[in-house]
Amino acid sequence: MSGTPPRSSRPLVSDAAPRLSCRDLSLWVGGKCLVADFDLDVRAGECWVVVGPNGAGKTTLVTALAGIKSPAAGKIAYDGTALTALSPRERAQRRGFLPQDSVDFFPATVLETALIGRHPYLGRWQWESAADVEKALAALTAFGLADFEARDARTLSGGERRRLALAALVAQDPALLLLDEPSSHLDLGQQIAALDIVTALARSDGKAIVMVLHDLHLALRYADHAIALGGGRAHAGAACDIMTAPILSELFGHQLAAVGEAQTRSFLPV
Amino acid sequence: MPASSPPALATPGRRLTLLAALALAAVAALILALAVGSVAVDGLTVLRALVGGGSETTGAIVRELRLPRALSAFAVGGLLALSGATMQVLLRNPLADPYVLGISGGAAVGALGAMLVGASAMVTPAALSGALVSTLLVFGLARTGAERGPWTTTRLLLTGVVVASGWGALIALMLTLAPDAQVKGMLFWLIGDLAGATVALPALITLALTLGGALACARDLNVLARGEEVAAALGVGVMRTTIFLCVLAAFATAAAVTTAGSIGFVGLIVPHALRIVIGNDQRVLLPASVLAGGTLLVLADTLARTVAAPVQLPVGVITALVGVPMLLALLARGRS
Repeated sequence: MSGTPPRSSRPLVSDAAPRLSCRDLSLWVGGKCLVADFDLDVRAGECWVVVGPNGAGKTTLVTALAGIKSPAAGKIAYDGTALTALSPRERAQRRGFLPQDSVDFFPATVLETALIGRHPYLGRWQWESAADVEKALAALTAFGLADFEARDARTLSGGERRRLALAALVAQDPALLLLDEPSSHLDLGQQIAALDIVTALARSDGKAIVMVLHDLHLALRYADHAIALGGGRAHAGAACDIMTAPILSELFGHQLAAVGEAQTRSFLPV
Repeated sequence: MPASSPPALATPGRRLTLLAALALAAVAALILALAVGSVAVDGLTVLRALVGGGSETTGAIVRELRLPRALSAFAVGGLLALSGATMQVLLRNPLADPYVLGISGGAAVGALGAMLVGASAMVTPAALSGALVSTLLVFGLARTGAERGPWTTTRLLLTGVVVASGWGALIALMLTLAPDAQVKGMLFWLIGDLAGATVALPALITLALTLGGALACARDLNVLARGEEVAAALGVGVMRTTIFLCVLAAFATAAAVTTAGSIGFVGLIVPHALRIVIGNDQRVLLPASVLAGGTLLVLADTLARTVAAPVQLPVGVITALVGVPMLLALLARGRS
């Protein structure tokens, strides 16, 4: 695969093992190959973005990396430990996953919903402790939901529910965050606010993030690394190397012109 | 939705109060069931008879006639409510109920089949097998179509109706061909009746075991209520937990059916009403459902025994009369 050459030659387990790594990953959906023999290392403090056209397999890639759907082939490891050697509970203590959409089938308060993030840390007969509640409340406050804790989550707006899902993820406090369109349902100001919080986590706490983003400008603003997925192939590397007019033009099948430099680069359809 | 209409979601203190109140209500319902009937016995005499005092006749009526039936009613109500509450989470649909989905029917066919071939020791395993086959059918058919899609209400109810009427036809067939004296009446297997419940202990033990098993998975159920993908992401072994709880719900249904026939709608009414009051935390909802389901069926059976005395109605008639309007109301509300 294209990307940074030293990665593929590195062994899967090393002293400073990456938060997330995959080797020879192949993904197929409905008889179509989305990506083949894909290698990736995501290290602590890094923020990766996955960009690509509709149907390129962005969701399939993050759900596979989250260990929720098995890939057709390939190995995935968290902190150097193979995913297959981790129980579902151990996986949930290391990585959090934000699905594209969530449905509330039953009533639950906002606080209960945020507390669900503490599930992987509690024993079978254990109830959430005061410390768990504190973590959940702190996460709710960070996403501007402090006054909503007693509300039924089903009465929230789409944007509020998205922030609630992110708060539950922050309460889960995993070292690796896999996010499928974290900014969906959010208005521009909320997108920036939410992504500020999430990416600050990666940088301050040595966490790592892989997120699917539709907005190329938000992707450039927040990510230091990028995976461009499309046409059955994936390019991975530093964001400024991947998020270029030639690669993106080919990816989206429309000629784009780049304006500006580095993180403030923007793309205009020609 | 305006902020002025907060949902009734309970604080931990309110939940404990509610559980205590439900336990008290269960005790009160049981005492009422022991007191009311063709021979009225007052509450104090009931308590005296329970500890072995009082006259011989009163003691026999309370301890040997009414107590097994009342305890059976409690156990069956608890089992059905537990089964319903569990199925509702696993199917993520508040309309799931062992009777509506045909699981009770499957258990009845299994039990009836075992009786017809004279294998009385196999009645319970056969009922369990019938319940499991129904569960498999419902889980398999109700969400075919979308790869991992949710169970839509329409598909779920259609599957349930078809499966239940299939079992109903089999029951009718077996009873038509069966020698008269060999099996309990048609009503017992199709509508449910506690008149023949003379032994309560097996159902009570099953209730304790299945409630314990479900409570061990209660927080997993809380996570599963949010969908399988979310549950998998939060460390629930989705497949393993779902299978365990399906078998558990089938077991609870089979025990209820072999005790009292196919009593409907308890598993639908009870968890639904409680969820409105105390929310959907399964750690509270499951024991509350057992207590309330047991209480409801004890009261329903007491009513069934007395309302048209000396004729005794099958208790399933009472639960259906309450349950059917409730199911219709739920459907009407779900449409808007």
